Amino acid sequence: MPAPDTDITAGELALGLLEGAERAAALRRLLSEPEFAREVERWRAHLGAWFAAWPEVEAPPGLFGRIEASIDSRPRALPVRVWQAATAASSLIAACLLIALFVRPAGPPPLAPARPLVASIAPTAQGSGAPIAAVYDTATGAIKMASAAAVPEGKSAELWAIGSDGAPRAIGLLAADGPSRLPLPIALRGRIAAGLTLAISIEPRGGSPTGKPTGPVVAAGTLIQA
Amino acid sequence: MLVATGRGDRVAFRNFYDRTSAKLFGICLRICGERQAAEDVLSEVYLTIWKRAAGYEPGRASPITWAATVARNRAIDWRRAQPAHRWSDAGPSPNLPDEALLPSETLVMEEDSRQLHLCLDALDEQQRDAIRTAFYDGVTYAELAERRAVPLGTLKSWVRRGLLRLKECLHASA
Repeated sequence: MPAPDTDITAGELALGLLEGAERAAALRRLLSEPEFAREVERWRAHLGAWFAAWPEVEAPPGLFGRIEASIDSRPRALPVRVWQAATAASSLIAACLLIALFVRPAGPPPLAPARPLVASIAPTAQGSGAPIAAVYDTATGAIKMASAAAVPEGKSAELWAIGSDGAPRAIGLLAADGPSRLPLPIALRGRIAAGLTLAISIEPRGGSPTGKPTGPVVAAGTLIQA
Repeated sequence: MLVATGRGDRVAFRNFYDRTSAKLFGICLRICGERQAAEDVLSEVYLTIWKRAAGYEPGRASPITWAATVARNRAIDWRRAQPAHRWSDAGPSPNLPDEALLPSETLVMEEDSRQLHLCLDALDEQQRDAIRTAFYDGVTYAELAERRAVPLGTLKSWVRRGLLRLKECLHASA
């Protein structure tokens, strides 16, 4: 059984009670200690039973229309909320990722790139296996991954884009087996350019619940023009 | 529905939205405390669900619990990103119903819910109240200590001892 301190901090994080330096420290542990990450997941599962009592409030009509519009990337997009949260956590996580990655200076964003952007997503110190080839298809706005990443039972591999600001942005989950096709979120399409880093992290089933990587970064590569 | 959504099935996604949006909006509204913010967060939550549904595997977490967790986490992230200001009390925490469970819950979840309910009874009133308020209001330690008009250290020890007891109880009944 994990140390009591691990259990309690994991519970505090799952509840959302932590802030500032304590929260930053707990998020660091989420990245670096798999047992801690599992414990947080366990707490979330236990607490999940409490959602049943949560009062319901009808969502505003027309909201689904806005959501669909975002998916279809029609001109009227949702305002993107950026959690500046200059929290130590987000910049520290970004810094940890950057230390492991080599980011080339971004080239000018291609207006209509004649040559596709490709990346060889190679294992980091925390990963293993053969590099995964990725291609950005401008016609469809999707990233095609040639193969799957090795993922432990009950986990998912998640793809992230990391730009010059160092903040990871989720792209999507890799298929469990074989190639994947991941449509790029609209907000990221303007950022796709040579020099962007793609990274794969291991997350709980269904992907990171926090919007930032919570598991180890097992592979990374930089987009270059083919 | 969630699995079908993961395959890009728009109709399934719409159905999932219809079934879950009231719950998820309730979550966002209570934690964000502002209607416009809650709407924005809710939209982002469903976008996330649309993107991540492909990775969802039926397992320990029911689809609604999975979605609700995304909503609560996202609402808390929004809350934490706001400049420090006085959050008004969202009102009393919902009472845990003895038997009310969402229709989509499986037998496994019912057992979990019962376990948690029983284990909660093992806690002091203060411990139970602090933990429940943290869950339903998305408050930080500092905010909650202020609300309860107790020193930060006191509140932290309520929560920590409460969590420890919960853990021991849940572990014992597993």
